[in-house]
Amino acid sequence: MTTLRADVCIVGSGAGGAPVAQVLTQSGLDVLVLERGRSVSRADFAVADETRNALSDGVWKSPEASEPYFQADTGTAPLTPSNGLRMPQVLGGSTNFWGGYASRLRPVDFELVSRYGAIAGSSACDWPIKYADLAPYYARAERELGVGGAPDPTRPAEDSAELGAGLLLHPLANLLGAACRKDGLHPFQSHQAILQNARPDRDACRHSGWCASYGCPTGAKGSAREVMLAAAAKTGKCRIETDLRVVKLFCDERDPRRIMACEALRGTGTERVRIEAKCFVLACRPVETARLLLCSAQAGHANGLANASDQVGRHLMNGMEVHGRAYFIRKNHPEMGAALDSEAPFCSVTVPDYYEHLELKDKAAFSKGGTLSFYRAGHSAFELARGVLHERVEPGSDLGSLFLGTALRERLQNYLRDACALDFECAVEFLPQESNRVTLHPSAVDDLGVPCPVLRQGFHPASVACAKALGEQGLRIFKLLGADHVQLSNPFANVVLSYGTCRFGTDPARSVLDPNCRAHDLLNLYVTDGSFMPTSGGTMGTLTIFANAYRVAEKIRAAFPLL
Amino acid sequence: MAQPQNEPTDQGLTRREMLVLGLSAGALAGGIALAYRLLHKDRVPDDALDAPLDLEASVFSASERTTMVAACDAILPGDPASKFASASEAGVPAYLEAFAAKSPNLKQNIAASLQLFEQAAQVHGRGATFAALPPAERETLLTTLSQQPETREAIETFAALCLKGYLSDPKQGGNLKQRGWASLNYAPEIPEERKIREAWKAT
Repeated sequence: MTTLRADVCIVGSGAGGAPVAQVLTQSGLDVLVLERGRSVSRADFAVADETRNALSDGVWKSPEASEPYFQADTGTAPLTPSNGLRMPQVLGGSTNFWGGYASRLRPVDFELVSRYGAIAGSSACDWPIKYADLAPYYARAERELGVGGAPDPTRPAEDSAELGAGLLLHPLANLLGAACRKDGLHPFQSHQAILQNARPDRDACRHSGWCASYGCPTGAKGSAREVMLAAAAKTGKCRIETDLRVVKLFCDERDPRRIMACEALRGTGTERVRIEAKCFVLACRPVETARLLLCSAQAGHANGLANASDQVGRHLMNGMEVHGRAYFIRKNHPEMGAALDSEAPFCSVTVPDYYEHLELKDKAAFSKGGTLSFYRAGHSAFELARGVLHERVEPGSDLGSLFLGTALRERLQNYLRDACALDFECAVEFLPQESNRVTLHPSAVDDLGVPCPVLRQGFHPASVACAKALGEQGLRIFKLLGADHVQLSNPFANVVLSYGTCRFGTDPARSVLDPNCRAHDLLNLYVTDGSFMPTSGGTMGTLTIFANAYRVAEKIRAAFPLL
Repeated sequence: MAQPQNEPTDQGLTRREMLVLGLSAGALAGGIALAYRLLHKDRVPDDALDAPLDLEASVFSASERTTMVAACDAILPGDPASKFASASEAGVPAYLEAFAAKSPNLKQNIAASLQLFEQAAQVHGRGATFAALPPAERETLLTTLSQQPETREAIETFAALCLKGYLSDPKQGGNLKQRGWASLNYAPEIPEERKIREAWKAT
């Protein structure tokens, strides 16, 4: 067995792991980053070809093919990809393929229960830190990633201090903004980690349209690989091992409060590698981080590592979303002039006005809203066409009628050939529940012999109601603009986003991690992916994971001499 | 009041036909569900799906091929007046056959869909093959199948595969001579930023 040694071992190279590698290597520590996927570079990402990049090449590994995930409700049936976890397993993780939407949480997200009261049926709680604690790290993440956009007029000016130039937008953005302002709303250009202007080591965006779900061939899109791992590599203190999957962590026999080593398998499991370090950082995504901790049960940790409280794996959350799409048929809108002819790929406009409150029919219900973001759909003709096959734009329980034959042809002509499409996405709280959790299957193992995870992912009814209500506001804005045809999805879980399973808190009986994201039960184990989040917030959490990883990295750097 | 079993429904099929189709569909449901999952590996491909398409592949019988051409054109019929290429004009059947050649499972499940279309045609057309039905009836038949829970996934899967073959980059097979793209005035390359900037200023 090969043995590798480092000061700090980071498991996972995405938004949670890479900032830690950057900070610690720049502090002079010897860091080893372990990534189970393969290495990629800009050269791997071609444009104008929807079947390359994220959609093929084994980047999005099938959980069914080699690593089944199970649903708690059935206990035996593998998850189907539509509700399974489509996780990219490459260097830099899913940040290679995100759309770059980089929104900060708001102060209210850190004190949900204090502001809205206890929510029946939900395990929501306040965070052990405040927005002000994370604000400097949001600023750093924005600066490093190259986030651009316009200031949010509903937030303090200092929250926008690090924003760079926004991307050049589709002309519809002007019309959309004007319509919203006329309605008393406060739209602004969404914040995206995509460079409009080049930096010394990253080219400017080419506006190719092949962005979200695709890798970036120019480096304009800020990712963990392009930014943090590149910076770490420049120090000469960072080693990156790809195609290496950690399967178990081991405590020191003389001191069960200290992790001494982990064991990893390379490729198909033919080579075993032992990694010894003074400090371990897990950033494998919430499901896999919980799975690794549960799989690491040993003497003194019978229920898995960091799990004396039986909280590991609980409070699993995803993104809670609704999608909408509007079609503007060109011949019907002479007043829009040439705006509908533009093929500019970005129309990124956020409406922040519903974030803290939504008008609901049930006045007594939880009424926190979220983020309403407008954008242009990706440029894949196939993906666009699939949207007109039925009336719903995303998977849901009720897809409505299927259009075939002449009806399909007419829809393709009306909505793809003769119209301009505009989408929105609503992100609201995915209210946590203690029973939404990751456990281990009693018998099923994956192709490396690791117990498979069993997931329970149920929706809280208040989340569904809020998502629907925010979706209705999106439709209302489409109508203000004069859309000819609109589509709305059912509320659904965006499983590419996941949070919880190792929430942080001050009470060791109710949380896995302390406020610095160190395990309550262990002296040298930190978790920096989305696992730490007790609530999801009302926007996509990627920037929050980046920012928190910077915060925790500083805590590790300060604590390292004592570890 | 109970509807007579041979009374045509709104979809143009008798209730008896619907019943027979439902039973046939049930028997195929397992395979269809698998086909659905395999199709959705557009995003989560397994090793077989990562392999390049072999457009010379020949995995279906002549009769299956005939059914496939008819089914593809029922889903995406051409219209010369609006310069809209049919599925077969855009090479979709060849794309599907090459896709099916990637793995035995894919072939089996596309073949199961073709078998479903034939069974439906024989029930509806009193022994006729699917390809022998008038084009409008083929379209009606597939629409009817898409409205039944047992066969919904199979039809949606097949239709999505047709769209994939119609609109994919020709490098990946299908979209013969870019006819699918031309039908929709689609260009895979967005104009360079300069033109975007000019359009922005103009508005």
